Amino acid sequence: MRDKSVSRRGFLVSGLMVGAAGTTYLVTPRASAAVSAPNLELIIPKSFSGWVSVESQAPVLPDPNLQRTVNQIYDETLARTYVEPRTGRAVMLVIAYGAKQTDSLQAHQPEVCYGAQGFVVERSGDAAISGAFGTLPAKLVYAFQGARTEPIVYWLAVGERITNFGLRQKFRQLQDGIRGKIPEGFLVRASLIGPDEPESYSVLEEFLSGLVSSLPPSSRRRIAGV
Amino acid sequence: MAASAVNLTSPPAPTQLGGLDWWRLGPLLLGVATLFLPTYWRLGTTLWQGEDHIHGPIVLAVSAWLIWKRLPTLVPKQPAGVSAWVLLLLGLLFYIFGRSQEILLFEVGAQIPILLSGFALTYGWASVSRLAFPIFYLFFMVPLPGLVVDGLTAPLKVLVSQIAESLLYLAGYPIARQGVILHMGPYQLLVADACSGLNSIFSLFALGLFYLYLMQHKHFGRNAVLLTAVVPIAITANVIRVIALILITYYYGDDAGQGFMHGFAGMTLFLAGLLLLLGLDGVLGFFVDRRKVKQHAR
Repeated sequence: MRDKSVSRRGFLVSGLMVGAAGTTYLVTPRASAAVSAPNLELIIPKSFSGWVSVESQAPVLPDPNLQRTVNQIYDETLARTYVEPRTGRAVMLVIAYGAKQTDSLQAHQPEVCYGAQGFVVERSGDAAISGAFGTLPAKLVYAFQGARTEPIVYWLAVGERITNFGLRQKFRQLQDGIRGKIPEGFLVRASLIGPDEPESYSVLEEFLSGLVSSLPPSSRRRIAGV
Repeated sequence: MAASAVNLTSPPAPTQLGGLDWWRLGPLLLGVATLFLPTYWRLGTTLWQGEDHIHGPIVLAVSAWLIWKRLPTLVPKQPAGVSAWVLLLLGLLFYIFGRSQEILLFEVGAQIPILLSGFALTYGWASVSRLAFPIFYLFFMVPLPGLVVDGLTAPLKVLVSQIAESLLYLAGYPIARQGVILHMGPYQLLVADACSGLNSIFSLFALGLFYLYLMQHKHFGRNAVLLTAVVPIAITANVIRVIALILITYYYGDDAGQGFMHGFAGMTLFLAGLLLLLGLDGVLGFFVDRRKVKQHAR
C-alpha cells in the first residue's frame, strides 16, 4: 500500500471529523439575547376577579434532587395560593419560567413532578380555558397521595404559543432548534385540594381564565400565547 | 495475545513508535478526539455527576483500554469501500444533530458508527472485527431515552417499595406503605427514582457483560444465567439500600439517614451487586466443571 494514498485517505477521514465538529459549533442554537426575565412576582397580579393571594398551603414543587442532573438551572418560579373570599375556595398557582425552555421545564410537568413526589397520578385529559381572549387548549390531571386529592389544570407555552407536552411539542422544539432558536417557555399550573369531579376542574378553568384576562397584553402573549 | 504485526522483511517506517503506525493512526485519533472529547466533557459535568450513572466513565475506560491494547495488532488490509464512507457520513450527521440539539442519545451513540467506519477506512473491515466488541460495548455509555426510563422507573420503584415493606413488616417493624412512600414510626420516606434500580440494572449488565467477555466461558447456559441474574441482583441491592436507609432514619433520625443516602450508599451497593455476580459465576462454575468431570469419567 502506497504511503500517499494512505495519508490522503487518513487526512480526508480526519478532515471530515474535524469539519463535523466545526459545523456542530456553527449550527448549535443559542438563546435569544433579546429575551428578558419576566419577573413573575410583579407581573402576576395578587388579586383578580374575586381571587386574592394568601400565604398558606404550599404548592407541590419539584424535588431539588431532580434538578441535579439537569443542565440548565430553572430561571424563575412563582408559587402562590389564592383564596376566593366569597366562597372560601382556595387554588394553588405555580408558574415556572425557563429562558431556554428545553428540558428543564420537563421537571415541572405535573405528571412527572407529582409522580416523583410519591403521588398517584390517576388521570390525564384535555381542558379548555375560555374568555374574552379566546379558548386555550390546556391539560387536566388528577393526582392523590393519601388524603391529599388534587385536581390540576395546566398548560405549557413556548415561544408565545401553547404547545403542552408530547410528541408535537418535541417536534416543534426540534424545528426551533434547527432554525437556531431556543424560545422561552412558561408552565402555568393551577390545582386545588378537592374531589375528582367536573366542578373542581371548572373552578380551576375559571380561575385561570380570570388570571389570563387580568394580564397586560404583552405578558398575556408571552405566558398564554393570546 | 498475538504478536504485533511488524513487517520483518523491510526496515520499519520512521513513523512507527511503540508498535503503532502513527502515520495511519494519528489523523484518525485526532479526528475522534476533536469530536468526542467535548462530548465526554459534557457528560462529565452533567450526567455523570449523579450516582446513578457510574457505569458511564467505567464503560468508556474499559472500551478505550481494550481498543488501545489491540491497536498494535491491527494489520492494514483491503481498504473499505463506499459502505464505510456512507457509515461515516451517517455517524457524523447523527453527531452534528445530536450535539447541536442536545440529544445525548444521538451524540453519544454516534461514537459507534464513527469509530467503526473510521477504523474500517484506515485498516479495512477485516481488521475492524478485532475492535468490534470494544466499539459496540460503548452502547452502554449511551443514556437511555427518556421514554424508556419513564416507562420502567415507576413499576421498578413500586416493586422495590413492596419488597422493602414486606421484609420490614416480617421483621416486626411498624411499617406502612402508600404507593412509593414508606411510613415507619414518625418517619416518612419517599422511594425516589434513583432507588428504582433501573440504572443499577444497566450498569451491572454492562459490567457483567465485560466480565463474561474476559472469562470466555464456552458454556452458553452459564453466560445466559449470569446475565439474567443481573436484574434480580440489582433489585435486591436497591431493596437493601432502601431498608438500610429506613432503619438508619428510624434509629438515628433524618440527618443520619440523608447522610447515608448521599454518601457511599450507591457505590457500596453497586460493588456488592458486582461481587454477588462474580460469586454466582463461581458457583455456576463449580456445577459446570463437575458435569465435565463426570462426562470424562464415563
